Amino acid sequence: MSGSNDRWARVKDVFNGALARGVDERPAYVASACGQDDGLRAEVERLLAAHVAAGGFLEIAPPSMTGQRIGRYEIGARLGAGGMGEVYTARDVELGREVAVKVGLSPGDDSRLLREAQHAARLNHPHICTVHEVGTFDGRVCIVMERVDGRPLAELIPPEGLAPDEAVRYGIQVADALAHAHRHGVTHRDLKSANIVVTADRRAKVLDFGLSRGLAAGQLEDASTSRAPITADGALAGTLSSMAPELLRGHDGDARADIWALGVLLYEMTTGRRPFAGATPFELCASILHEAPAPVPARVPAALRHAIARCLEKDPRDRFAQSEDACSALEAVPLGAAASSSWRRRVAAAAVVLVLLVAGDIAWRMGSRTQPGPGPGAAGRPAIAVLAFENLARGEETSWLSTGVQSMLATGLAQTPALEVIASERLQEVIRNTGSASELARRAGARVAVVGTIAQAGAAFRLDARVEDLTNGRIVTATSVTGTDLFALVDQLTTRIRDGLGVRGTEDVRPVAQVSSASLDAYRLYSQGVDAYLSFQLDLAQRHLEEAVGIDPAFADAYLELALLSGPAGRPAERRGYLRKAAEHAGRLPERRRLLMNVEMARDEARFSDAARTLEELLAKYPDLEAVSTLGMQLHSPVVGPMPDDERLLGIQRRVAAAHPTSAYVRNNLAYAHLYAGHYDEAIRELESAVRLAPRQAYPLDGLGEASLLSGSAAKAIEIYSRALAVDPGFSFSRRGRAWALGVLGRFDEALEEDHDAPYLTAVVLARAGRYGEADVTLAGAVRTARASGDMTRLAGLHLLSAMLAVERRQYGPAIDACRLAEQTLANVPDARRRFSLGLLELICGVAELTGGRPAEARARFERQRRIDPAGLSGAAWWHHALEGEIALAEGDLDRAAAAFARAEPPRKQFFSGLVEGSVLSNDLMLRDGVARLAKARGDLPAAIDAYRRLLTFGPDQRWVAVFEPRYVLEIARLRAQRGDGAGARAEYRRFLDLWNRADAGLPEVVEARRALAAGASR
Amino acid sequence: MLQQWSAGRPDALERLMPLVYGELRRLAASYMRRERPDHTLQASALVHEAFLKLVDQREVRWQGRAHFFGIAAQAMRRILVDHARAHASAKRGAGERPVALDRVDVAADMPGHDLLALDEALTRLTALDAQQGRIVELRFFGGLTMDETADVLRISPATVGRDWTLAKAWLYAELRPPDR
Repeated sequence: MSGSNDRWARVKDVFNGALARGVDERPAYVASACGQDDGLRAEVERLLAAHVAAGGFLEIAPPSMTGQRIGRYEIGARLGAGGMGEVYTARDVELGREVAVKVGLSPGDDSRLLREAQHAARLNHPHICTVHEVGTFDGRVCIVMERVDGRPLAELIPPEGLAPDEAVRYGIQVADALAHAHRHGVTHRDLKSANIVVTADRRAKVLDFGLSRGLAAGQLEDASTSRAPITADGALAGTLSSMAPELLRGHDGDARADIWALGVLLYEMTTGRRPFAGATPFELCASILHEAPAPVPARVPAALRHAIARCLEKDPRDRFAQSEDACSALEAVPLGAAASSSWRRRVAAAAVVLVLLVAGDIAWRMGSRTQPGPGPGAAGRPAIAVLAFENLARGEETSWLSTGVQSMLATGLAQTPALEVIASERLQEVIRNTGSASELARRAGARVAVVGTIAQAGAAFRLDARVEDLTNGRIVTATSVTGTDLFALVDQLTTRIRDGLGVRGTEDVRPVAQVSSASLDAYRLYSQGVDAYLSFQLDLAQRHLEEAVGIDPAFADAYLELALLSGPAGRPAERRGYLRKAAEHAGRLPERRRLLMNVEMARDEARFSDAARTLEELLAKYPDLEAVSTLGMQLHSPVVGPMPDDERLLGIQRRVAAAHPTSAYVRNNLAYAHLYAGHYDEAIRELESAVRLAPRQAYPLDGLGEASLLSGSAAKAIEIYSRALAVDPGFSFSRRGRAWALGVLGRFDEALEEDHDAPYLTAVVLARAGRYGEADVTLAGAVRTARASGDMTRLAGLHLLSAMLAVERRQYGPAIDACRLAEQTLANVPDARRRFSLGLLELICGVAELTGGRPAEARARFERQRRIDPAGLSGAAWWHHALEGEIALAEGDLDRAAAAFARAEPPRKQFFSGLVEGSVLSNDLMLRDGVARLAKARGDLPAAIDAYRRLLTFGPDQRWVAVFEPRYVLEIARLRAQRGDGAGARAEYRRFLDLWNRADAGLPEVVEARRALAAGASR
Repeated sequence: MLQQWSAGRPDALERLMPLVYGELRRLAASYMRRERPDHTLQASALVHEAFLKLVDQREVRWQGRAHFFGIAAQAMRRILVDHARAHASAKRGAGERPVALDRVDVAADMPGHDLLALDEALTRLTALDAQQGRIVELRFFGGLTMDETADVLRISPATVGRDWTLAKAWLYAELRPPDR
């Protein structure tokens, strides 16, 4: 041991010594330091090579702030990194809002940056990303700012430029932002399309106001004289190409340098190109200083072209004197559709003035040809998306209203079964993934969206809402309500939007306060609680929700959220309590929530048929709830559900999939419902589309592999599993699947190479290869692991497998011992899961008794097996017939055996999901040759041979997905020998020995085959 | 209990392990419950969250904090490895979201790599060089910085840096043979 320690110490020394030297010097150093010790040298060289190749191996984005807390901010995921530092999501726990935090890269003298940022924190404008707070943490500058979800404007500009009205729309927003900042003495200094984010509702937000230090003098000099090629999308290139000539000349720029940058931005938006370009920084600078940009195409309105030219005057004195002037010039550009932007701007400027400048106050009616409509949503109903409202008040105590009003309005609108309302959860997901409104429309199935603003004056609120056509940004209808009672305002809004959309079937709709809470405080806490839940802050969510029911003890929806929260948190008693409370006040729930509550309650209380009935109702009315798909699986899966029902499961999954055409998860569930029902082609079709929907996930491919295997194509399954593993090498289901498929083809050695951590499968394959010794060791290890982890279901399965392996070796004692262990273990398994294994247990144990010559015991098992939940055994009743056949065969009652064996085949192919041990066992049951043994007993040798051949041929007609069974080859050999077919028998014996070439020494089967071959050879 | 422990009660250390393990597991499970596409489960985030949860920071001296992270890194390793094992044998296609399962691999920041293999290799490395094994555990499973790691082990950050570099190279060589 000390020898190995010494050795390691030397490896360490030389390795560290080498790293302390330059790359060039290392080989010589290692050679001299190792002297004659070639082994040492090889080891150090191996490690040095690994060091070079390792790259970011094991490195976790250092030094991540995630999970830390800075003051009242809990830092979340890292969003990105830039020259100045890293940006993280964060949560303000006091105000319960999401923010972004920019953390300076390194501790150092950033006092100027700090001052500038504090300056910028004074800005408050709808098109400026607000800086909430500035400070230092651990010596690093931290800037807490508004979290803006969207895409950089730079990415939204197509090669040919934006439509003029779009360019003007964003131009006005940015110019207005500049004007606001300049009034407060803050200049941007690095305004460019990469620094502007456009949100899903097409609002531009300028980032990093006053935070740029621009380019330091030295940097600028380097850059402007550099003749190295510019990388097109590098940050330097972006910054340089937006720089005003006076900055390049080394002057301190003022607000007019920002106006120049606005000109560059407008030019880029309208033409898709930047006004100045060059292959090197030097050329670029020369172009900015001396050249006039290529003219803006004539299709662009003249007023816009003039405004751009005015911004891009080389002499700052010739540009617009103030950004307000640029803004006015842009507003004067004659464009119809741009009006909505200016409307928004004025609302922001004077929140209490009731002005509505809408592009036509048109109430859209369904069926109208001239105006765009919501269009059928994924559920087949008109679909409408409700986005978070912009809160112009910006007061911290009212910041929750942004999502609060959104959820109130969604609640109000969603009461109309005729309308599909896509609520925040799904929307936020789509926006985060794509950042694009039209993508949102496509994915979520909505063509129209409600967007709006909240303004506050004293106690009065004003809500402005517009229904926008997401495909073209046009306003379908717009409305505005004012008053002090927020609930009443939302109800008015609900009615007007519904009328505006011409939706009928509104007679059952109740005021929002009646289906939630009449207390604004309670609703606020509820809304904050739900937000916290969605961002995984379960403790915070629970606190808010508990406070909400503290204020309003009849707030049913808050109780339901609390119940949904406490279930997965492992607090079943609390869950039941909250569900009871929700039920007490069920009258206060909107219908879809009430139905969901009823399903959850019924499941909790094991009233499964009630649960199923309510699920049907939920499905009929709200098929767009993804939860319905999951609940369907949980209730009706033939593998784990308490109410196995193929047809119903299929019906549910079909409906939900129709409502969620783009959800790979739901499609995967639908495919499995088809698989359970034996519809292989349909399952494969659905899985193929799931693969297209989620190409970077392994699970749809894994499902496809399974479906291919079940449909009888093992080779194809192997290929597909390999594809799944290429997507995600860690997806061990696919390793297991591939091992199984290889086993089915008799490729035992390859199957055993798969590292899938499924010891029972390894044990089965080993035993098929005659390697019982290794199989026993594998099983013993698996038993220890299962026992240590307390997994009783698994443990029972392992004991059963031991019993089966003993039965096939005709070892009565060990078989009965293993059966007893399995029985004792199963007594500790919950009922629903136990049922699945019991039938199999009685079969294997019954046959064990028969092997031991105890038919009476076997009969007793048969009787017991009959009593296992006969209603639930639809898929497993064949086990019962199999045991009946075995008993009859042992008793010589061949007719009864024939009748029983005819029904002793599974009604559908044995799937291998769910309880894996159970399916491995039932698939690989050596006893599945009952029909062959019966034929043999009747003396019909050709029929027996034929039956064995069928069992050995894997294909579409095969009922079992079993690992290849060499013992059946041996049986054929015996039968052919019995028929006097010596040559045929010898071939089969040889095939058997080939399959068992690594079998344990001295197994009677091997001895028999060798003897038979030797006898044949001597003949 | 952490207070006792920072006051030098060695038996409190052993008793703390199940507590930390339990809390981390609970956190991990609740994080995975409502899966969001943008969400990955970061070991360091969980460890820090558990710390906030279990310990009132104001009352624990720095040494207690360092020890906590030492224990938590070990617990996190167990959880991720246990989960990887369970993951390999969990049921599928039956109401459970398969997406949720493969997220944890991402969580360990080991895309395309087998956590179980790493665990085994790390055990071998620990036999060879206990300090290096510990450093990898703290850095990788606990998400600790170099300085935090140095504090926990009471060695200099420079030593941590050197050992970490060699340990990474060794593990890399173990897990990815050069001929592949």
